[in-house]
This record gives sequence, structure tokens and C-alpha cells, in this order.
Amino acid sequence: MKLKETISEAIKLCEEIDFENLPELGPLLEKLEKIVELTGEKEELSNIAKDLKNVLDKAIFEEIPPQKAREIIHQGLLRLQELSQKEEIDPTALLEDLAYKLLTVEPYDLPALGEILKGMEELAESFSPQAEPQELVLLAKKALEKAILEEVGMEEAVAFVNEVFKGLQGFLFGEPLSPSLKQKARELGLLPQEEIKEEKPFEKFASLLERTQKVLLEIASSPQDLGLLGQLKAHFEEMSYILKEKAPQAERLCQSVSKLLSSDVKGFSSSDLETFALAIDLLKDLKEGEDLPFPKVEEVINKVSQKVTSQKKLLGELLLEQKVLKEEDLKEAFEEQKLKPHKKLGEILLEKGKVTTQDLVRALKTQTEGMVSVEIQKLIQLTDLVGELVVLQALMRSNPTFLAVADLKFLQEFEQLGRITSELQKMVMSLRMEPLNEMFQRLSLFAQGLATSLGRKIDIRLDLQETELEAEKKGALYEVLTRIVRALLEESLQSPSSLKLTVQRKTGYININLRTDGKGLDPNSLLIQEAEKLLQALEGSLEIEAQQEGTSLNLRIPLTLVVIDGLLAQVGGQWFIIPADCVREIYLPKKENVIFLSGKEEALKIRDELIPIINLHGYLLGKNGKKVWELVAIVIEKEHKQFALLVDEVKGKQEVVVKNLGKVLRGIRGVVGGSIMGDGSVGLILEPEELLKEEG
Amino acid sequence: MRILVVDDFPTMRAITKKILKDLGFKEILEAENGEEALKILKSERIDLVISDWNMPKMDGLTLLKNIRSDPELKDTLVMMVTAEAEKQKVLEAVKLGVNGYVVKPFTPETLEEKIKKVIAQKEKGPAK
Repeated sequence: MKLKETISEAIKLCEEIDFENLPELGPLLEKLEKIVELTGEKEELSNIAKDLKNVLDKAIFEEIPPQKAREIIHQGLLRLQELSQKEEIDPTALLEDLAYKLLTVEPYDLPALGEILKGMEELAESFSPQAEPQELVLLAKKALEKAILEEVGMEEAVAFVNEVFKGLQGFLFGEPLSPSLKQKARELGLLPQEEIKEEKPFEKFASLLERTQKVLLEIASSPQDLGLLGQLKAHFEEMSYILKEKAPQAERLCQSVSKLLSSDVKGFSSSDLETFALAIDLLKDLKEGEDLPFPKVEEVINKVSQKVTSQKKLLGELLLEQKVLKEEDLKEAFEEQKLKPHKKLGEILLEKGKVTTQDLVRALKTQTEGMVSVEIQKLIQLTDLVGELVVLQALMRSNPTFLAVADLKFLQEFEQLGRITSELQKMVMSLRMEPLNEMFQRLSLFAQGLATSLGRKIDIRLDLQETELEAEKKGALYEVLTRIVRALLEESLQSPSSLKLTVQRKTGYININLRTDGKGLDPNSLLIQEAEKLLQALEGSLEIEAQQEGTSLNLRIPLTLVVIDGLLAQVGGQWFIIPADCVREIYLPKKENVIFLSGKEEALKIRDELIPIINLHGYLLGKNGKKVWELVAIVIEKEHKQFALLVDEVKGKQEVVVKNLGKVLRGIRGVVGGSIMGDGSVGLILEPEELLKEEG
Repeated sequence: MRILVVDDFPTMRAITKKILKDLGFKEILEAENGEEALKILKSERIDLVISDWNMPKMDGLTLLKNIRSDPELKDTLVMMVTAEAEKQKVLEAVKLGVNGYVVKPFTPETLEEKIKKVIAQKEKGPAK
């Protein structure tokens, strides 16, 4: 307790006193000495404290500039505060409390069980960094969670948790943890049942890792050998497959590396190889039945993804290399760019007179070596042409004359043509599509910078799915988003202190949601109007909603170049395409399956379960007289929603290209796009969730 | 027993209502989303809320948070309805103090059993 108080007093002093005035440093020195004394036994803490005292000593002897010293000491103290707070969770008391709660809990009292779960998370934390007790606590927590989800019996689970608690109490008194606890966990299905069965894939992984390392060494000596790169990629892919579900973090790591290798790369620099070596080293730490720690994986993945984005050398980097720019100047320019994101770095540097036009041109030339710039309009035409090629091919395939062809060689050649066309299409798409996440990160920097310049603080959180957008739309989207952020920060009546940006990839469109605690945004403000105008060009839409807790803005950007796996269904002669990933089953209802609810509503009873119905006949097209049992039910399950779509007929699965619809069709609820069908007619692509949105 | 059914999908509300009526519950109210549910909760006495997860305006989890943090509502019983594939998310709700959950699609028997458990638990009173 004393320690925590002293640290916060020291932090306060550090913020208030004038570091250039020697007498004012005295009290701080005293506090730091006190902290060193109080942290005596805890080596990690006391080392930091000693370092901080050293820094202050040096500042007093004028060996370090006072402002620098203040910064270092302040940060160090904050770190100490964080660490000491962690220290103070006492596992003994916590354990006792939890054991008592567990003893008195009723098996169906979910709120009480929830409290225990939270306590167990804290308990696991308090044992850190001791892996063994921590793992046991987490196993016990898993047991309780499984019982809540009714996957194991509650009594069994509680008994197991009790045993773990007893074991841990013993452990705190210095007894070793009994291996029988793990055995029990295995019996409860918390750990893989048969060790032997598990060993095989892990062994495979270990030997694969070794081979991967060898390949990497070979690449180091011949970095241009593309065959070796392919091998490396295949190895990482295989490892990620083996690790699937066993070690999600490690799997994620392998995936991100293999993804980097698949982005068309022509050889690597030695620093790239270092990143791969980092990943391999981290994977070596993986132990059987465990996973890698999230922060470490995150760190390496960050490095890997930086490599992906920086394969083209950045302008700033080049200018530094060519020694025409100083690092400080570059940093300064970056800071300015945060506030003026529409300006290019080169422009800012020129304006400030940090580089000459000649320098800039030379650097830009180097930057684009090996690249060709193409007019975007030509690229769009190319995509359209390829799109037509694909459609034409589908048309030919369903032509009766074609169906009658029996010439095997012709058919094979046609298949080959099909493969090439679809490859070509993928290629063209990859030229047009650009990943968006880096842009969202830039937006968050922009918002942060803007808030700072307005003298405010804002807590920004990003929840991003990987999304891609046509390159030519990216700039406009960024303009839209910066205007919205500016409107939120500059014009809200009650300024926001938090902002959450959620980006989701949906069928046929990208959904961007901004949620903030700021209130009173005028939806007719100039900035919003500008954003809306820009959005029109993107064919997107913006919805602003004032909520109790703040404001929510929802942006939708339609995608035009997506291929989805769809279920083809026909309703009243019209083709519908339903994304295959949300289809649970297809069911042929009988008369006795139909249940009538109040009013005219009907539901389907499938294996005793009641499922709501949406009849596409009455919903999007005019009603017809067909009864439910004359139709086919496609059972949809997605994001907590479940219902059955009724259609006339289901005609199998197919990959379809999503096309944007004209204005007339865009208004239909649930329809997010269209696609040209094999017979030349337009199929409507449904986003089933959309069908549920507020009627009328 | 006054029950509030919260779901943005009218047919799903109708199904739940029918099952509840068949089980003998008479007073059943409906809300389209969390926000509407909160309004009703503040003006009427409600004993049990049965809420869907994903809804526009305010989702089920936020509704639960709001109920638990409101001193006047915090003792209201709350049950969440979830789809099998999203079952893991139940644990989040449990940590926030949900009283029960039911997996969609449910049979009348399952819903009855779950509601009975929740009510029985309430009568016993929480463990101190």
C-alpha cells in the first residue's frame, strides 16, 4: 500500500516541479530513494526504481537535459505503478474468496457463476508468470464455461474446479501441483484426450519447422530463387494447417507469413529474411498442447505486415538514403502530414524547403523503378472486358448446342479456356483491389492528431476485418471518412472522448461503423453534406443515428468486383443468389411442419424446433397462391439470427460475380447486388440478414 | 409474471409469444430493440426479459449492461437467445450477469425448462 502511494506522489511531483530548479528536485529524489527501499525484495521493480534514481542523479549533475530526465522518470514511474498494481493481487485471498463462492453457488445461478469466472481470470493473472498454476486456473475456468454451455455436467465441473482450488492452495504453501489434476482435465475433455494421437501432428510440425529453417538459410544465399520462395510459402501454409484449432495464435502467425509470401514478390532483402527468422524463432517456442503468447505473435505479425506494405520503398526512406534529408526534418513533416492527410509528403517537404525539386524527382524515379503506371480508366475497361468474357463463357456452357457436344478434346480445351479466364479475372481484380486497413490506421492517426490540435483527448479503438476496395475509390473513401471525423470532433455539441471504428466485409458491400460518445451532431452540417456528396460518387450510403449513449454513423460502400459462392434459387421465374456460407440446410417442408401463429404469421417446425419463415413470394414479389409445403425452405443461420427462406426451387451452388445494381433495384430490401446468370438474365443477390431489418 | 420479448424480427417475436402463451404466461410485451426495451422497462413492471442478440439501435448485450447498471432495473431477470454457432458468446453475457440463455431454434419444452430454472433460482435468492 505504502509503495503505491509513494509512486503516485512521485508521479505528481514529477509533473509539477521545475526540473531546472535544483531545490525542487530534492523531494523527488527522496521519493525515488523511498521507492528503491520499498521495492527491495522485488527485483524487477527495484531495478527500475534504481535506474530512475540514476537518471535523476545525472540530471542533477547536468549530464542529462532536464526535460529529457523528466520524460524518462515520468514514464518509468507509470510503468512501476502498473507493475506494482499487478503485484498487489494476492492469490491467497482471491483463492479463498473464490473457493467460498464456489461452495455456495447454485448450479443455475448464472450471475453468480459469471462473478466466479471473472474472479478466475483475475486469479490466473495473479499467478503470472508461473505457467503451471496459471494453466490450471484456466483449465478450471474452461470446465465451468463448458458446464454453463451445458457441454459437461455442472456437478462434475464444480468438483473439478474445487480440486484445482485445493491443489492451488497447497501450491501456495509450497507443495507441488498434482499431475492427476491434468488427467482429470483430460477426462472432462478440456485437454486433448489421447496424448499419442496429438503427438503425431506436433512432431510433424516440429520437423516441418526444421525444414522451413533450412529453406530460409538457402534463400539467404540465393535470394532470387523463386522456387525456394514457393517452398517456404508451402511450408508455412502446411504448418498453419497443422496448427489449426490447436494453437490459434501460432496458426495466425504462419498464415500472415504465408500471405506475405503470396503477394507477388520478386526476391527478398536481408531484412525481410530477418523477419521470417523472427517468426521461425518464435514458433520454436511453441510447446505441445500450448499456444504462443498473443503479444509476441502480434509483434512479429506487425513486423511482417510492415514488410508487406513497404515493399515499395517509401519516399522518406529514399530521401534519407540519398542523404538529402535529415531525420528530424522527416519526422516533422510526418507530424504535419497527420494534420493534413490530403497532402503528399513530397509537397510538404518542398513547401518547407527541406528538399529541392531535383532531389524529389530523383527519389520518385528510384521509387517507381520496375513499375509502370496505368491510367485507371484503362484498368476499369480491362476489368469490364474480362467480366464479359466470363459471362460469355457461362452463356456458352448452357447453350444447348454446347451441351450436345461429345468431342472430348474440344471439351477439355474449353475447360482449359475456362481456367485461364478465371485466372485472368483474379489477376485483373488483384490489380484493381487494394487493402484498406492501412488507410483506417491512417484515419485513426488523423483523428488523434486532430483531437490533440483541438486540445482534447480521444480514445480510439479499431475493429477491422480485412477488406479490399477498388484502388480508384480508396482516395474518395478517405476523404469521406476524414470529413466525418472532422464533423464529429469539431461540430458535435458534446465532444466525443471515445471513437470506435468497426469495419466488416459483407456480401457485396463493406460496412463501416463509427460509434462515439459524442452527441449532437448536426446531420445537415456542411462537412456531412460534403461527405454525402462524395459518397454518391462511390454509390455508398450514410446513416446517422443519435443514440442514448452517443452517436452512431453507418457507412456502406458497395463492392463491384467480388466473387461469392452462392446458392441459386428460383422464385416466380426470378433468380436469387443466397451466399452459401450462411445456409445451414435445405429442407422440404410437409404440411404437418407448418405452424400458424397469431395473425397471418407462419413458422416451420423442423425436428421439433420452431423456425420463422420469410416467403420470398410475398416478400419481394407479388403473392402467389403456393402453400408453404409446396415450396423449398433454405434455413439460414448467421450472427445469432435464424430463419427459413421459402423459394420455388434450388438449383445448386455456383461462384458468381457481384455486380452493382442500377438505382431502381438498389432500393429493394435485402438485395445487395446482381449477377448475370448463365441464361443471360439477372440474378438478385440477397443478404439474408438485410431481409430482417425493420419492416417498412 | 410479466415478460418482455425483445427481437427485431416480428415472426421470431410471434413464435416466442406463442410458446409463452401455450406455457400459460399471460402478460407478454414486445420490443423491437434494446432501446425500445429500456423505455418499456422504465415505465412498466417487467419480471423477465427475453432478448435476442443482434438488433439495430441497441443490441442485447448492451441492453443487459444497461439493465444491470440501472439501480432500479438491476434485479430484472434477463435471458438471452442465441444461435448455436454463436453459443460461445454466451460467456460474455454470463460475465455481465445474465440469468439464463436459450439456444435458437428452441422447442417449447426447452424454453419452458430454461424459464423455470431462472425463476426457481430467483426464488431461492442468490448465494451470498
